[in-house]
Amino acid sequence: MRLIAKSERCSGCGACRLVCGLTNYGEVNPAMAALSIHGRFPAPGVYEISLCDQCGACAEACPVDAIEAQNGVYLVNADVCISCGECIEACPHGVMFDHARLDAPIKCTLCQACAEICPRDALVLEEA
Amino acid sequence: MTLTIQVAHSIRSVVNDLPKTIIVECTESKTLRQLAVDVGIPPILIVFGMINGVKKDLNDIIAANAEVHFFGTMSGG
Amino acid sequence: MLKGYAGRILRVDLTNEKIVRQSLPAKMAQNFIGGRGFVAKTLFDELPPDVDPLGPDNIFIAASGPLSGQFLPASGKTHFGCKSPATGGYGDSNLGGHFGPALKYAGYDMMVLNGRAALPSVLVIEDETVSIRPARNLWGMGSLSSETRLKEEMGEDFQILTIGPAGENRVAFACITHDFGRQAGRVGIGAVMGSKNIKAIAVKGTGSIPVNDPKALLEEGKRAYRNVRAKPGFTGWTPEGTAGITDWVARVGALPTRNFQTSYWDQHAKINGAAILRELKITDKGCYCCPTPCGKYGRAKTGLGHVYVEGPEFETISLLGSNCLIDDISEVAYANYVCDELGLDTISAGVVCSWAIECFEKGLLSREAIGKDVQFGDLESVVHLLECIARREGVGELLADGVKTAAQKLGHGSEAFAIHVKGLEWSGYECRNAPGMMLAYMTSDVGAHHARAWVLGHDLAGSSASVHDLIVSEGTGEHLPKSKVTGRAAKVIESQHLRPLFDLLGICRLQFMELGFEVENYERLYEVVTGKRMTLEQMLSVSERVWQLTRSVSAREIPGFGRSWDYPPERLMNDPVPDGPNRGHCISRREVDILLDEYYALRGWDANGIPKAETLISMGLADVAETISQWACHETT
Repeated sequence: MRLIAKSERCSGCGACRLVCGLTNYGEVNPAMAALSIHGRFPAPGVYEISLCDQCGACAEACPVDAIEAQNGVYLVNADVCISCGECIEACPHGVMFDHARLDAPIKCTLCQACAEICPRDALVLEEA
Repeated sequence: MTLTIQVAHSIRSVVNDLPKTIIVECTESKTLRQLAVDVGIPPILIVFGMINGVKKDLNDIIAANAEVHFFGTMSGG
Repeated sequence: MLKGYAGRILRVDLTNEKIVRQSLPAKMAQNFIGGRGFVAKTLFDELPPDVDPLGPDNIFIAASGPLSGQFLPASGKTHFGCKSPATGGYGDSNLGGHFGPALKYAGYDMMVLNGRAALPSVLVIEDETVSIRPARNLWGMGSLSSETRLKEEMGEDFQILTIGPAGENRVAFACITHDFGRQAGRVGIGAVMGSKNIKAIAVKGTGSIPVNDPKALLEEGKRAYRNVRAKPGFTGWTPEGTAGITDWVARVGALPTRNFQTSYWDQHAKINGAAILRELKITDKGCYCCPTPCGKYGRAKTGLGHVYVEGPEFETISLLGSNCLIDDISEVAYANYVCDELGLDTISAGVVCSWAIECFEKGLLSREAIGKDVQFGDLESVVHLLECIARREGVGELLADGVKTAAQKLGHGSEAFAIHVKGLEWSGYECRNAPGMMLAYMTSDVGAHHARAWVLGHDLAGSSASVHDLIVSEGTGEHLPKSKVTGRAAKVIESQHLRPLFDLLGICRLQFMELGFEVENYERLYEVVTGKRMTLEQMLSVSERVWQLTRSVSAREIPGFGRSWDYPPERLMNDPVPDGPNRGHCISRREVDILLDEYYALRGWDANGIPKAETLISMGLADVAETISQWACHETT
């Protein structure tokens, strides 16, 4: 499975970010989300979604092998992570995030909560 | 033809004793307006109707089995 | 620890640059819920006596509610409050978008600003860090331009409020703009922000909102989204948003036309929702967590220029479109853009412009006074007036204080067609044959606004004795019978508690109002986030308490406040509608008195419309009851 963004359908509501944080961390906090929405205003007046496509650049950059693929999904092992931030720098889509209250970076786990909730069908799952 | 009519809360809150769903059998095609009159919904309270999920004018005709929605008075913003 | 709330109030003394963080009292959350409830309570408790709405001692409040920022449909609302520059009484204004949630993630349920910054400033809140920074050359810039600049400088993660030149120049109907097209439009809230030398407020929050049961919130939130998605209005209503009612409003003869001279315009199809989709729309633009984005962001191409703009919404279509006889959706959108950039409420601006144009037609305002000839149906006339108003230049100095004050100054009978109640210009529904809606406008606490109560459907139903008669009487272009004037108050009061409930909870009412998302769902959502049970009935009781409180605030703040402040303008009482479905209809002064008498009796107010002490006590407002006789003009029959 992979997550695809159909940004032309996005209305900027951000429910995806809120459900991401709530699902993966149990907190009402969009700053704990693993995707981001960019509003291009005033022109051209559209939204762009940035999300993880499981490219593995983060894993490659990690000096302690804290990021490994499981069934095609790269996951961060918080016990191994040393919070160096190299993965965040390396991510080509800017969708690895840190948060002051978390020990390891935030990364998409392909939990599918965002696609399930998006009322605009702007986040869809496809066979890889 | 069989028509399943869903009556929005915004109509039912103004006109008493209207059910949420009304099923009617019709032998001939008719306008949405006439359908509303037939089942006791004042057309003046309908902001728009939908036939099979497509927004329609009250003068549009229904000619086959369909699901019809009547939306009531709504405020703007 | 309070769950569902951020748990703190941020107080900023702009004069002394003092910042205080206070715990949110549990009693306040229990008795006033949030949002508008917090605004009303704070204004009553903290407004100094005889304060000038545009002076440093007025209070500027922004508050969210317990459901703001939560995982549920449309949790993005913020409620603002102040002593209103438009009316001199209770003032509040509601904003969609993303600001309230951001303030909550930063750790605050409410922000209260006192005093005045020494220089034009930007207030910046980034989690625990609060600073007042010089606005520098932002002062003088348009609202949208300022937000663009601040987003570039600070990053897209900040949620930003801005005022335009209108707010800086303290225009009585200046608004706050946010997210490139959302507004806190009414009561002159933008002027209060400007009077405090605050050009913008920028918030970024990375904290979590403590909730009682996050797992349950996840499930209930998902269920709520599935519910809304399954509603027929999800696909039926969303594409056109609020503009979708334009044709119907015309059909029922309630469309303000030509400065409310009449209530039907045969050009309505040129400025309706379908016209927006055809000519303007680029993006369905939504507020925080909203599944039914009603914002239509697009590009308008006119002879005066090409602009990007969010809108027009129905109200703007009504007051800047039909009310000014602008028959081109792109031109209505352009006027909308001008208002947004200048920082003017489109509703009040439309009414003020149409009044000015009528004054010109009648020879009460000259070409020299205005600076040019103006006429209905002319975008250039409207834009000229808007620019004068925002800068208080030329005729703008007269118009900038609102239509009530302008008409008082101009005289010559112009007050008769200054369409306002209490000094707030009338919004998008003409009601000479809609007595319930008329009563709603008359008794709305902030002045003539439809957000508090909306009962047009009941008025239409009330025009006939039976459903059969109602069915028979309807027809395209046909003449509507006169609507019954008695028995209107109960529905208005019910609506005045239900609609503002959403302003207390901090969420949008459109999923309930337009799509039929069952209002009982909010009981469960409230319980899941706060851990407390509150039935819908209990919530409505709080809303009723807030209603009595806002009336009391105005009774205290406005000298001589009472029944006389609840009347509609002369035009609506004296001039029958000349054409359209409601031709010949009018509401008489006698009928207005019938409406008010019935309303006051049900409200527990005296004949002058002042809450009785026993009513206030029964509402849990004993503190108000204690003092009301000192400052209110009671009258007994």
